[in-house]
Amino acid sequence: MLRVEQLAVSYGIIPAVHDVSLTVNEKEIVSLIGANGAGKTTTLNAISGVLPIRSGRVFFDGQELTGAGSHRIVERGLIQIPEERHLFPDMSVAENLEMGAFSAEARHLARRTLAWVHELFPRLHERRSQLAGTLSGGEQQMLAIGRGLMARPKLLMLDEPSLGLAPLIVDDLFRIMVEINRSDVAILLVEQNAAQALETSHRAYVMENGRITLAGEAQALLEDEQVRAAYLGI
Amino acid sequence: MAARLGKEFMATVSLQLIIGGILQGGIYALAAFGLSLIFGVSNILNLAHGEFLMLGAMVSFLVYTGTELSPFVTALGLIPLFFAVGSLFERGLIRPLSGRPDHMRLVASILVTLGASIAIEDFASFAFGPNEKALAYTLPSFQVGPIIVSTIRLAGLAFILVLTLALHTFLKRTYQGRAIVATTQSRRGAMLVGVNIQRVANLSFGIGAILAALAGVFFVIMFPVTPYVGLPLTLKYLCIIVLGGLGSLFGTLLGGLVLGLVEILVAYYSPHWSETSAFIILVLILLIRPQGLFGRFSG
Ligand SMILES: Nc1ncnc2c1ncn2[C@@H]1O[C@H](COP(=O)(O)OP(=O)(O)O)[C@@H](O)[C@H]1O
Ligand SMILES: [Mg+2]
Repeated sequence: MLRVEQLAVSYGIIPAVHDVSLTVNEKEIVSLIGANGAGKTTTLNAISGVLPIRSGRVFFDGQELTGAGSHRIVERGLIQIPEERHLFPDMSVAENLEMGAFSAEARHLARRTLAWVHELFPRLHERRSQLAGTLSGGEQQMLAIGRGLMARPKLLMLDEPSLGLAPLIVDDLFRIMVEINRSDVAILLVEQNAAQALETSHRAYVMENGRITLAGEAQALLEDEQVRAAYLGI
Repeated sequence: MAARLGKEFMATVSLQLIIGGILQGGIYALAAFGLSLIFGVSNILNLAHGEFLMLGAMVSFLVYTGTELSPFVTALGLIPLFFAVGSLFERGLIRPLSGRPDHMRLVASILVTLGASIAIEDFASFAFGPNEKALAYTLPSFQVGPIIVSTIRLAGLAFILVLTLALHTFLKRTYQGRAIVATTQSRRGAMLVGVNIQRVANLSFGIGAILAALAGVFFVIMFPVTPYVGLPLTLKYLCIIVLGGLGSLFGTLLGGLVLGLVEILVAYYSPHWSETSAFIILVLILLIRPQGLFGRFSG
C-alpha cells in the first residue's frame, strides 16, 4: 500500500536520511524504531509532503506521490499524526475534528466519522466545546489522532504517540490503535517505546543514523539479541 | 440657561468624539486586520500593506472627482479589484520566496515588500501627482434632541460593521475561511489536514488588500491623502497587531479600536500628542503584557 524507495532527505546541506526503503501493506501495523535523532520523524515528514524529498520515490495505493503537495497526499488517505500534534489551539475540540475532515471526500463522511471517533475517544465528546490549547497532554494526543481519523485515512502514520504520557494512558492508546487497525486502517508507528511497539506490530524497521539497519517480523526482532540490547534495555 | 447650553455642547462634542474615535478605530482595525491575517497565514510582514490603503483612497478620490459617484458605491467596486491586486501581489512577489527557511523568508519578505512599497509610492506620485487629495463628500447631518450627528460617519460605521460581520461569517462558516483561521493557528496542522496553504496564502493577500483598500475609502473621506501615507500607516498597523497580540485576529480588531479612540480623544485635549499616543500605548502595554492584549506566549 505504501512503498518508499531509497528515500533521502536533508536539512539544507546536512543529510538526515539516506537510502531508506520501506513498505507497509494493507491492514498491517508496521513499527519504525530507533534512537533519538535517528531520522524517524524526518522520514515521516518527507512521506507526508511536509519536507521536500532530495531523492527517492514514494508510492501509495498504486500512485506515485513523490513531491506531491501535502494536501494532495492527505486527499489520497495517507495521514500523519505529528510528534508535536500541531492542533489548532484556539479552536474547540469539535472544530479541530471538523477541520480534520477538510478534504472533499472526508467532508461528505464527516458526520459518520465523528460518531466513530467519539466512540473510540468518549473523552473528546465530553470535551467537545473546550479549546484544544487547554486540554491535557493525553487529551491532546487523543484529539490529534481523532483529527487524523476524520480525514478517513487508509494509512495512519503516528509519530511517538506515547511521548510524555502516563503509562495507563499509553496502554489505552495502544489498545485504541489496534482497534483502529481492525477497521482496515494500516498503521506506520514510530516509537521510542520499542517493546510495546513491537508487541503491537506485525513487522518493524530499525533505524540508526538516518539508515534502516534491520527489518523483519516484529516477533523476530523482539527476540533479536542486538535489538534487545539496544532498544529494549534487556 | 448658560449651564444647560454648556452641557448640551459637551454632550454633542463627546458623542461626536466617540463616534469619530470608533470610526477611526474601525478604519485602523480593518486595515490592521488584513495585515494580521497575512502575517498569520504566511509569516510575511507585508510592508506594502499601507500602499493598498493609499491606492484605495486614490481610486475613490479619482472616481468621485470624475463622476461624483458616492464613495460607498465605489467601495463595492474596489472589492473585486483589490482582491485581484492582492492576489497578484502574492503570486508575483511573495510566492517566489516560499521554500526558503523561515527566518530567511522573513528577512527577504521585508526587503521585497519594502521595495514594492517604495515603487508603489513612486508610481502613485507619478500617476496621480504628489499633492494632497481630499474627497469633499458630505451628507447632511441630523439632529437627535440636542445632539448633532454626522450621517457620513454613521454610514461609515455601519459599513465597517457590516464588513466585519461578513468577514466573521466567512472565516467562521466557510471551508476556505476556516482554512485561513486554521493556518494562522498552526501552519503545519493545516497542511496535515489537507489545506492547500499556498492557496490560502493567496486568498489572505486578496482579502488583506480588500480590507486595506476599503479602509482607504473611509480614510480619504476623513483626511487628505498623499501618495506617501502608506508606509507610516503600515508602521501604525504593526503597532496595532503587536498591541492586540501577534497572531490574535480578534486582538487586532480590538487594538485598532482602542488606538483610534485614544488618538481622537488625545487629539481633542492635546493635539500635539495624538500621533505619538500610538507608540506610547504600545510601549506601556508591552511593559505590562509582553504578549500583547490577546496574544499567547507560544512555544
Ligand atoms: N528542522 C531541522 N533542521 C535541521 N536538522 C534537523 C531538523 N530536524 C531534525 N534534524 C536533524 O535530523 C536528524 C534526524 O532527526 P529526526 O528525524 O527528528 O529523528 P528522530 O525522529 O528519529 O528522533 C537529527 O540529527 C536531527 O538533529
Ligand atoms: Mg522524532
